[in-house]
Amino acid sequence: MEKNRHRHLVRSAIFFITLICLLSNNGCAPTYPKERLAQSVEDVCKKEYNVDVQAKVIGKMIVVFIPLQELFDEKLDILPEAVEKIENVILTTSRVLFSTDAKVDFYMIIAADIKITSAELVLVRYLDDVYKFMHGWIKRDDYRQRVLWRVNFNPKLLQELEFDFEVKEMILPNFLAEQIAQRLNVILESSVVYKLKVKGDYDTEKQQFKFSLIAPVPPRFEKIYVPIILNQAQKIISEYKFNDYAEVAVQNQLLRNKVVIAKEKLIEYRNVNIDNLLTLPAY
Amino acid sequence: MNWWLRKIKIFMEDHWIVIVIILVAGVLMVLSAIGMSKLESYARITALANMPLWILVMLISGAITAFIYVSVMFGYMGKMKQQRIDPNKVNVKFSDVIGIDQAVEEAREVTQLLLDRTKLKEMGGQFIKGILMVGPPGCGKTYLAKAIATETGVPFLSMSGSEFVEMFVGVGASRVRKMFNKARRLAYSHGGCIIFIDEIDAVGRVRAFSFGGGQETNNTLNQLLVELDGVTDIANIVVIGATNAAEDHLDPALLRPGRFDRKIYFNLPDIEGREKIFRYYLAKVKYDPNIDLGRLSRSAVGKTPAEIENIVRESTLIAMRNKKTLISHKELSEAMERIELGLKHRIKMPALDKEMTAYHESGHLIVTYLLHPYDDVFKASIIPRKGSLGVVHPRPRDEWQHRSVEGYLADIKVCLAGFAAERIQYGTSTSGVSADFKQAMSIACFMVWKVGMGISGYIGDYTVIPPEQLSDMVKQRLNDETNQILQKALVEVEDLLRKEKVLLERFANELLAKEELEYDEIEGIFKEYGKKSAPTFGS
Repeated sequence: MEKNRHRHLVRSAIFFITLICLLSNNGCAPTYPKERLAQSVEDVCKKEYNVDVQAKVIGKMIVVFIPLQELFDEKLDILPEAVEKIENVILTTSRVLFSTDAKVDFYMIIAADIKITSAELVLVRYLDDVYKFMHGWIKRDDYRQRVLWRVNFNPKLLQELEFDFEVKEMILPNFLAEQIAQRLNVILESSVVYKLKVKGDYDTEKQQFKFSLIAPVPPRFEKIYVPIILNQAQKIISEYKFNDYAEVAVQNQLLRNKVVIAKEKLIEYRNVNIDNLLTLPAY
Repeated sequence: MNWWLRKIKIFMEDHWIVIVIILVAGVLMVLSAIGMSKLESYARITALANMPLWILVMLISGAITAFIYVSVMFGYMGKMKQQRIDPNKVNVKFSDVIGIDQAVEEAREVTQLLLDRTKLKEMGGQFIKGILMVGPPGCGKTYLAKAIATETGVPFLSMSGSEFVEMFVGVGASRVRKMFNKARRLAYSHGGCIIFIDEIDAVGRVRAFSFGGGQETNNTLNQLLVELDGVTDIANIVVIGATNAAEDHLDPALLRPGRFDRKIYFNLPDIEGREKIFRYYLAKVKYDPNIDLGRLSRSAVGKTPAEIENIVRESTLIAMRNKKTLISHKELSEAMERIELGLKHRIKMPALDKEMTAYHESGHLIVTYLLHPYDDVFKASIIPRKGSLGVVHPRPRDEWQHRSVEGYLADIKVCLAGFAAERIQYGTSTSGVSADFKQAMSIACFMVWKVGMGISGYIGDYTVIPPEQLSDMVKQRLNDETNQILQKALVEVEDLLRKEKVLLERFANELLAKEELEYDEIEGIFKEYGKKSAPTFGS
């Protein structure tokens, strides 16, 4: 009696485990296979939001082009209708990328005014950031700062019906260099004294992060600007746990000054207090 | 309906709960699968990734709930004080069990069987599964069970039958199962185990198959029966039950062969047994070697071993209080008297009240001495004890198992003697006779209604006939006869006491002077007047 009961329990357990495994196996199949990734983004945008988009996979990045009749108003603010469309496309792209087997690290959304201005708003997101935000591992403000955005003017858009997708593939060190520069520009723009622009880039050959000051630079370059830039670089690079680089260079293009810091030395700039530096007199 | 349909119908009737559960679970799983298939793969993977955790949480919470439920219902409630006794620590041997030689002999035989069980099995014999000990309280049933445990050297689980009785249904049965499971484990590890259930009548009384009460007791007994049946030779477990109740109070299923195969009957120790018991317990204390143990055991007729032990213990305390180093006959006698009659209460009484008590007790004393064919007067006292103002303490001359008509009549006369003495001396009577009358009436009733000792020739036990079926005429005649016995006895007692008025006054005065008269003093006074005690029945 006892043996039969045990046998019955074992059989039931095997049955349920098999069932769960089968369900799991079925659940692992991607909804949007990599072969149809770009098409899937276009289809879902059309089906669910009635937005016509063009998408293309470039390396480990998917580029989604949103042709719009109007993007900015006369004050150069993005129109609410355009914001809604862009948000819907971002949401759809994220969804599709989550449920695909394609190896995609970045998505680029290009929303362009194809009728009058040829202005295009370019947004680049790292997919890992989206995961982290969805699971609450990063704050909303931080998430916003992790997106690259810029506005270009592309007159070709007014002449051609199809978007040419002549876009350089984004890789993580480039994304980080641009993000660091973008963050620095926000900080320096808000400063009363030190208003200047920083450009970020990554030299793959030298494995070097390069940050160039592209505005007239006041004195005390090494004592004030370099620590600020290196502090931000150290912070962002370590947050992304990126280690595949050798050095960080900061240069003043006008004065031809250049400071190069080895990866191992970068850690020393972790505790630099930017706020204190920004309050120092410039002269 | 064809054979298959009938079979399916019966199967569904038998397993409908399981079928419903499986159907509900199946429907839920299908719905879940459909729902999952509608999700995008990311959401599906997330759900599936969480599933092991959900299952784990559900299992843990289910296990906790089940644990709490089982703990409350069958753990805490089902838990009982199973007193496991280590035979080495008990160290009670058969040589320590005295005065119940016959029971010891039977227990010895069982023990030997337990020790030689391999040989018994080789011969194809089957071992005894249960032993039932039946006998009055204090006769050494538990003690003998402990001796069995010591002699066999196996673990001994001791429990009381009342511990199985609970208000919650199922708890008693659960306790029985637990006890036997524990016994099986002990038997497995120690080669055998003895379960001793004291007062087994609490759980083993005849089952009531009526609606309502008794269901829990029935369940407990049923479980006990099942477990007893499940005790195989391999299990090596012997169940010993002890009860004070008569066998017919126990359920016949419990007594059938295969359960309690062997019954050991305990009787009160005889004079030799009592002497041995006195010797055994006195050996543990300091006592006067001149004590006449024969006389002591003669005066302790009807005493159980436990009572004798108590007498010796009490006498030790009395000797301590009297600042004596040895226990003498006096202390033992006082201890016996204290146990039988109770402690003395010094209360203030009017002189006449005390005098009337003295005459009352003297009446009992004289009639007992001169008329009773079974009893001697051991002591007379007018010191209040246990709610009575005086007492005449009789002692059986021998260990009679029956009582004759003469014996009962003498009992009645002794009871009525106090009343007669009061009337002769004072021309009135007191409420002190109430207990005497009650006893006299019950004896007379018993004689007439139950054992055919009346005068009219009515024989048979009329108490078995339901009162409503008994005619008024028969009742009247039986009651008249009961009354006649009492009246006739009273006349005889009054005649005797009138005749022995001098003796009555003498004993009353002696009691008033000394308050208590011992056997020797009583005997001396009767001898002084040339009186001999009534001849023993049959001599």
